[in-house]
Amino acid sequence: MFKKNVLLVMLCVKALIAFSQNTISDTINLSGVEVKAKHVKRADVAIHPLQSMSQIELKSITGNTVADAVKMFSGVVLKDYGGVGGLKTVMIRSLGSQHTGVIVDGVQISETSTGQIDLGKINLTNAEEVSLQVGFNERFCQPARAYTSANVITIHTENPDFSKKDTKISFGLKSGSFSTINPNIAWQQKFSEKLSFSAYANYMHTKGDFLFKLKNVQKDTLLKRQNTDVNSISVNTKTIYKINDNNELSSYISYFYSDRGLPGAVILYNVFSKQRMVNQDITASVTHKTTGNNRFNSKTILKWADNYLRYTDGNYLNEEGFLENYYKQNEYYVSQAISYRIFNSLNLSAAGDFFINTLKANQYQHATPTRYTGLLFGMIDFNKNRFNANAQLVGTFVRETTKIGEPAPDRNKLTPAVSLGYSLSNKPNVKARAMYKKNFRMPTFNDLYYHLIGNTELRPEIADQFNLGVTAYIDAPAYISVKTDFFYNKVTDKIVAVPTQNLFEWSMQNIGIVDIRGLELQLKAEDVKFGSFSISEHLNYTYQKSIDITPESPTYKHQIPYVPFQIFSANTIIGYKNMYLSFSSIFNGHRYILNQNIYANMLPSWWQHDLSFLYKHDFNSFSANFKFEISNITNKQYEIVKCYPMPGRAFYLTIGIDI
Amino acid sequence: MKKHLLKIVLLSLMTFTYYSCVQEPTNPDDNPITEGKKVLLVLNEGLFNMNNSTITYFNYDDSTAVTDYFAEKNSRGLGDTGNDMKLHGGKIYIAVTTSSLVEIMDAKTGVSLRQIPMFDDTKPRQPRYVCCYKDKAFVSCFDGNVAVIDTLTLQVEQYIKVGANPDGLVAVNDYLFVANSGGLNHPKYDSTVSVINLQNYQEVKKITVAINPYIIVPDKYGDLYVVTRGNYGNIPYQLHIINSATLERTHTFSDISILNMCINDDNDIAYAYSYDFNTGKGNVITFNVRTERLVSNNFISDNTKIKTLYGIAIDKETGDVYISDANDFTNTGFVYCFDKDGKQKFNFPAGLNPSKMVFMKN
Repeated sequence: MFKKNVLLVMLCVKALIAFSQNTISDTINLSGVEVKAKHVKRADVAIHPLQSMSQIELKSITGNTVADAVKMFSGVVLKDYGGVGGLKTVMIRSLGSQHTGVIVDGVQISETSTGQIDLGKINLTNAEEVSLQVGFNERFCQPARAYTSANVITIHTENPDFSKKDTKISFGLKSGSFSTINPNIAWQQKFSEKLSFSAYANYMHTKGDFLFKLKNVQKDTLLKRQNTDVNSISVNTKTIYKINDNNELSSYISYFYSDRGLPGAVILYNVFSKQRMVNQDITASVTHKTTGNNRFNSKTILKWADNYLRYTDGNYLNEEGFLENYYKQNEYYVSQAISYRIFNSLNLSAAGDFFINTLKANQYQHATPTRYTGLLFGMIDFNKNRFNANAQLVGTFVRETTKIGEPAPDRNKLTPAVSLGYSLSNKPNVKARAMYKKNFRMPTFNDLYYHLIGNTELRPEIADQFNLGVTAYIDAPAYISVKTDFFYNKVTDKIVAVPTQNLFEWSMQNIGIVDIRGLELQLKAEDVKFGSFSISEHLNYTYQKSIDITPESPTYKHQIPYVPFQIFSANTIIGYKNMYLSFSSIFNGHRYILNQNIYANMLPSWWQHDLSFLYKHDFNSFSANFKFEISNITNKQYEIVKCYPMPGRAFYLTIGIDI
Repeated sequence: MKKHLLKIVLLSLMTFTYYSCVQEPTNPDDNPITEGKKVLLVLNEGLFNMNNSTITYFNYDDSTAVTDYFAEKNSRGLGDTGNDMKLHGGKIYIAVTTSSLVEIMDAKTGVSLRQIPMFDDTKPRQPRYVCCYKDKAFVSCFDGNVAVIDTLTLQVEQYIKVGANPDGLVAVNDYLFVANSGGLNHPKYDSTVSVINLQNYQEVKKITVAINPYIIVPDKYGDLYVVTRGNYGNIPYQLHIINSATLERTHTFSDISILNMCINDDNDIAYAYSYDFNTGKGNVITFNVRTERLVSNNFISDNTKIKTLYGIAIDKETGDVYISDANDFTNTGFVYCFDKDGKQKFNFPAGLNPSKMVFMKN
């Protein structure tokens, strides 16, 4: 195994000869950071850990969901329940998935029932940039909510370029292993100088019935995963109306529907699962932006979201022989953000959000809770000569009511964040950075109110984040950046599910203190040209020790479940004319499925290697693109979550036409 | 350019030096199983959906405990959530609920004699409890049936229809008593015990106790002690007596409230424990099954602390009481042996969530 790894690294390193990359149009507020070189990546000057993937990187990786992109980032452990329909969430720097917020086009996705956002549901075909901010959010004029999560994944969808024509239409069709078929269509229209519209629709069908090796002590059997079919459709629209030079009104509507089998854990000797899940999510939002002479900015957001989930089990042994549960969540959201530049070096930003979340379910004695959340945010940013400083404060005020039973008590929290940067040298550009942020996550509705399990006494889970690092980049003769960060997180009042009288009845408790210490190394080389070839290389390495330090815990100083000590990812893109060859590898070290670090609880380490080939050709009136992907080239049999096998080698072909 | 390449190479190498720093653990050589004259087998439930139910083999001669005895002897796992284990006629019968099977192994060698899948077409029946009587093993299945397994052919002969989601069961005087929990119809629990005539496998009657009947333990006087679990909320768990001759409920205790028990027939003492669903705390009590009076509210007389009471069994030979501790459910559990006076004699680690015990002499 080790030999194989070494070989692989040699390959990656050898590949580092030259390259270039299209710089993406930066549609993001650059938040006071002075950008001297034109193509300096925001990620390389930020005073907190920030990583991003550009459109060409997103296009060239295998897979086309946010989960496929985010897993390449440093510090990220993707918790993947396997297959296309399997839940995919992330743990970033060992913090549970509820500590990660997901923002699409400036609007945060809400999930108050479980707090877990399935990143496998978000399609990237029309994405322009995906970024991950650890801890801090330094952007100006954002909703207060964007500053409340420990980690934020941001997705920006394409802003159509109407410089050549007013109507753009594109079709795509992806097909491949496990009877997967995935057509999509996009329509972008400029109606006038002021009004533009784009719509994007995506349908996906897969049987998902991959073969896997079931390891049963000394007996291996080859089985086919069952009940894994997925049918999903998503439609997104974006309307932009430019009122005048300084004012813009935009609206986003998204619709998602899926019906899928839930294969569940692979149970020895019992292959029958008849659990299914139907999701229907609708989100609509309206945003008004004012950008006044770069001095005063304002952003107003109104949003409504409706999430419906239906779960059925055809093998349930109740009287009817069938279980049907449904859950309906709603969110009503309003936000006002402003920012003001006092001097060139001094900026202020403030925001106030108010939102209401409800949950209805057909469960017996369901509490039917409503949560009212008020957020107040203030930020001061100072940026002069070599020195950057940013301080933030968020006030969170939560009130709840229930139809049945006692609601959770009121929660009021103040959470500060501070970040400092100091430029050590200009050529090469070297910067030292330090960050502290206090976070908490509210218990979810399930944590609080799930019948027999929920515990309304639960307190918010606290996570303190510290980061200390050095970043460096050069932009000639090639763009190369190096980042090293040491991090320390401390989680207190960790919300944990604990089984009560038998193993089917669990209860939520605020137990546990976790001490997380780690090191991240990131290396990115771009713009390295070698004749007509260009090569891009991205290497990430994370080492983390995340131990339970709860006093008197029987697993004191043991690594917490599902956190590998080491993570590594590498991505090489070789460009030649309109062709891109991408090779990526991910390594997750061994980890434990339970608190106790004993061999019986260990999940072995794994490597996965993917390859893709992308080709674009421009014809007179249209352009065509072609993509071939092989995921899991070595057909590695592994599990990320115990008893949820991952798919083996798979092939996909995508053909697209842009008119 | 070359300078930077060098840096990259160095960094990459550095990265990979780190790799080799964190070694993946290898399988520690388990203590080899040494065959003992007297043996205690402990069934560990494991955790739901993790396929890690195991059997611990405790050898009294050299006081060694080996977990995963079953995998050792059969080169395969027991399955998901072993719920009950009984010894009868040199064979051990194990109900593995989530894997939906009955495993029958040779008591002496630990080798599987037969694995019976319990499915109604594609519907897992979810076997729960086992009781053996004469030449039959009866297995309650959560789909509302009791499987009748012939102990010679090891085949399921038939299924007897009982109430909803049956749990504990016991056979006395040619009658089979089955506790119908109805747990999956929550909040509409069942509250009956089905009585089956073992001459013709017909249900004779249903005896009403209280909601959510759980386990049934017989004493030598023909009384059956039935635990009902209530709704884990405002309806508490209760202890009832059914007379196995008159097939009537004769008593419901007002002063004894327990979740699990075993009886020493020699001294007529029942050892039982209570459990608070909210706090997770419980204590071990004793009561006399002849007088039906409480003997002690605190059986454990030394300072032994048990975190989560999870199983209780009596060694009929010595009268010692064995109590298993599920710890916090996700870490290695323990089994404690107490003498009649509640003093700890010894303890040993078992697997995850140890619950049922079988004593054997070879």
